[in-house]
Amino acid sequence: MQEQHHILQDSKLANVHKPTRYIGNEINQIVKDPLQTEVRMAFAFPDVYDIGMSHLGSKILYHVVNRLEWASMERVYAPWPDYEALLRREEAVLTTLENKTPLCEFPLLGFTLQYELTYSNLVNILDLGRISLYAKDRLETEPIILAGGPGAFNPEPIADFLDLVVLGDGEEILPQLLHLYRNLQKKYQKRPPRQEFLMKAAEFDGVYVPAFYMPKYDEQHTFQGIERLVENAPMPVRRAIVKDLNQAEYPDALLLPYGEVIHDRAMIELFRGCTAGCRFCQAGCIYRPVRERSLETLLNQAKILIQSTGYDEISLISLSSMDYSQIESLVDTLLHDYGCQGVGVALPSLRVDSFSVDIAEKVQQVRKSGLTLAPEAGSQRLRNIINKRVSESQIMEAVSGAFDAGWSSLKLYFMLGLPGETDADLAEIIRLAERIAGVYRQKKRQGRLRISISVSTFVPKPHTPFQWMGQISPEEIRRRQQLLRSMIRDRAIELSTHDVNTSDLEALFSRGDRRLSAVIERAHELGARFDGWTEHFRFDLWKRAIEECGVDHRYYANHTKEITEVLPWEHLDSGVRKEWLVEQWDLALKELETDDCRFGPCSLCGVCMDYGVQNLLDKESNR
Amino acid sequence: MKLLLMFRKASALRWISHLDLIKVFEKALRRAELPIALSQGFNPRPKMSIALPLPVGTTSSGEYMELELEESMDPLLVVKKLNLQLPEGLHMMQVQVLPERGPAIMSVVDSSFYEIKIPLSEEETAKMGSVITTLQQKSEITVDYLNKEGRKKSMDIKPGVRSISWQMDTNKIEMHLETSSRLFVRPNYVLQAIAAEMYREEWKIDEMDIHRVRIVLHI
Repeated sequence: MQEQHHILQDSKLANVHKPTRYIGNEINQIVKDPLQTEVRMAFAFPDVYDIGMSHLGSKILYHVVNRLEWASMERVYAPWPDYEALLRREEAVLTTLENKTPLCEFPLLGFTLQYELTYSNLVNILDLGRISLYAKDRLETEPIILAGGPGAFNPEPIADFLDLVVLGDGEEILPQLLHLYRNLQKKYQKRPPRQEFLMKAAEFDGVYVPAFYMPKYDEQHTFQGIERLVENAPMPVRRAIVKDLNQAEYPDALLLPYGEVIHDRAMIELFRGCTAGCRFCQAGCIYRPVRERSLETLLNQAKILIQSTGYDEISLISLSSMDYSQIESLVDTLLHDYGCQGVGVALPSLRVDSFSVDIAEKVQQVRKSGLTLAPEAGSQRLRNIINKRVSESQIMEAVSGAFDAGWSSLKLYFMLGLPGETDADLAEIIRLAERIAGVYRQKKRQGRLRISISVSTFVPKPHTPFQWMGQISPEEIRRRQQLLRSMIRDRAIELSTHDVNTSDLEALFSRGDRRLSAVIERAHELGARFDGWTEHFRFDLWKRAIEECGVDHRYYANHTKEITEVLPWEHLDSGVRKEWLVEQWDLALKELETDDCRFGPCSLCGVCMDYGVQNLLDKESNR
Repeated sequence: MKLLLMFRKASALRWISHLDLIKVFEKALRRAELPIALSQGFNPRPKMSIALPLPVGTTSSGEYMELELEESMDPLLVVKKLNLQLPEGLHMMQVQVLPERGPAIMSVVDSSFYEIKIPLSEEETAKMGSVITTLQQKSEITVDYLNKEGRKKSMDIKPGVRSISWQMDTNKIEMHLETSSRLFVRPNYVLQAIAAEMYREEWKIDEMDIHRVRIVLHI
C-alpha cells in the first residue's frame, strides 16, 4: 500500500487570496467514482487557474477523456504562491480538484506546455504532488508523466522530467494511449510496467519517449545530434494530426470557472492550422494544414454550448478567424439567432484590413471596446522579410474604416529584433503610428485619440524559418527599446515594451536542449515560480542557477546557427520539411514574399504529402 | 411577477464571492430558460438582487434573492427548474410571491441569526457561559475594526446585539445581530469581545466556523 498523504483541510482556504481557484465544484465539472474508474488521469495546467480555465485545448481534452466511461480526467492548476506556502506549512500534498486525490496516486499525469515560462511551475507541481522530478528516478508506483501542446515541439529543456511527449493534436491520440494503458492493465491485473507501456506507446504517430533517445555532444560541448537507445524508436518522431475536425470530438459543455478568469465565455474553434506563412510564427508551422469546421458543425456547437453554459458571449477561436472561409455567414447567423437573447460574439484576432474592421464593427454594435491590429513590423521591407503580407495602404484603409465606425482607441502590435531589422525599420513603427494619427485628425472626430503601440521582443522558435537565428543581445534589446521611446513626439501615441530579462529567458528555453533541465531544477529549488508574471519573476535566481550549472546563456539565446548545424529538436517532425524552412529563410534574406497556399500556389512545405492531409476549407474562397 | 427565494450556500460554495454568486445565478437562470425580466441598457442583465452579501468562507441556510419574471409562472416550478442548474452547495429552499411594487429587498434587511463554532480549551469552554452573561449585562461593548480605507476605528456594537447564547450541548455560540444599513454588527466583532473578556488572543480566520442561520427581512 502507498503511504497516506495529508490533504489540506477545507477551512484552511480562509488564508488564501482567491480560494475558488482550489475548490473545483464548477458547473459542468465531471466527477467520477475512483473505485469505478479503470484508468484515472490527472491533467495539470502549469499556470494559475485563471489562465488555465481560459484555455480551450484543456477543455477539449477534459471532454474527450471523460466521455470514455472507463476513464477519467481530473484537473489541477499551478498553486499561486500563497496557496503553495499554505500547502508547505501544513505539509499537505497537491491534489486534483475533482476528487481531491494526491497527484502521486494517479497512474497518469499530463501537462500542457503552452509557454516556456511555465517550466518552473511544472517542476513545482511534480514536487508538491510528491512525484520524483526526474523520469529516470520514478518508481513503478509513481505516475507516468505526459506532456503536449506547442512546447512539445521542443521539449528538450524539460525532457528529463517527462516520460512521454505527444506531438500535435491531442484529441485522438490521448484516448488511444489510455486504451493502450487499459489493455495492459487488464493483462497484468494491476498497473502495467511503465517500460512496456512506453515501448508500445512509442509505436503511435505523435508519441515521443525522451528516454529512448540520447543527445551527443563534442569536446566543445556542441550538440551533435541525437542517438536512439531503443532499436524500434521512430526517427524522426511524427506528429499526430486530426485530418477532419468535423469528425473530431468537441465539448458539449464547458466548465464554468469561478472568479475572474481571462476568457470567461463560450468558445467554438473555427479551424486549426494557419497557412498565412508568417516566418516568425511557430503556430503557423506546427499546426499545418488549415482544417476548417463546417458552418453547420459550428452553428450546432454554438447552440449546444450556449444552452449548456448560459454564457452571454461566444468567442470565435482560431489562429486567424478572419480567414475562415465562411466568417461572414457565421457571424451574421450567430448575431441573428442569439442577438435577441443578449448573446454577443467576440473575435479574438483580427486581420489588418478593412474587411476585418467591417466585421468587427458588426459584432461590436453595442460596446465599442478598443480595436487591436498586428502589423508586426513598421516598414514594408521588414514585413516582406517576415512574410506578413500586409501593405501600408491596407493598414491605412483598415484604420480609416475603424475611425469612421467610431473607434478612437487603437492597439497596434509590433515586434522588435526581427531578422535584418535596422534603426530605420524601428523609426518606421513610429512613423506609421503618426500617419495613423494624421488620418484620425483629418476626420476631425470628437473624442481623444489613443494609439497604443505594444512592441514585444522577437524570440526565435524551433520549426520556423527563423529557427537558426539568435536573439539580439539583451543590451541591444534595451538600446532599441530606448531608441523607439526617444522617437515618440505625438502625445496620442503610447509605447509599451516587454521586459528584457523575460525575453532573454524565453530565448534560452526556446532553442534549448537537455542540458537545461538541471538549470530548471536548480532555479525551482532556489524559488523560481510563475516566471511569466512580473510580480513573481526573479531573474536573479535564474542567473544564479544558469551560472551554477555552467550553462552558457548567450550561446543558447543569441548564437545564430549554421544551416548545416544539427538542431536539438530535429528528431521531432512538425510536418514542414527542413528544405522548406531553409528556402523560407533564404526568401526572407531576399525580402521576398510567399503566398498563402489556401489562396495561391502550394509552396511545398511538405505536410500534405508526408501526412496525407490537405487544406480543408468549408467553402472555396473568392479572395 | 416578483418572487422572493430563500437559498442555502454551503460546502465548497462558501468560498465563492458575492460577485461570483451573482454570475452563477445569472448563468443558471439562462440555462433554466426561465422568462426572466431583463434590465434596460447596453448590457441587459437579469432583474435579480440578493438581500445581503455573505462573506467568503461563511455558510448560510437562509439567504434571500429577489427575482423578476416577465410572465407569471408557478413559483414552485421556478424553484425546481433553477435547482437543476445550481452547483452542489447552492440550493433554493423556499419561495413566495412578492407584491409588484414593494421596496427593494436590500432595503428591508433587519438582522441575522448566526451559529458559530470556535476551538476552545476545556477551561474556556467552562467559562463561556459566564463570559456571555457578562457581555449581555454590559451597557456598552466597544470593538475595533478597519474601515474601508484600512484605518482602525472603534464602535459600540451593544445596540445591535439582539441576543447571544451559549449552547452547551453543541458547543456553539448563537447570536442574533442587527445587520441593517443603520447598524451592521458582524459576528466576528462579537467574537472579538468574547476573546477580550477571556483575556486571550482573537481566533484566527481559519478557526472560525461561522454559519448564518437566516436573515430577517422586514416585509
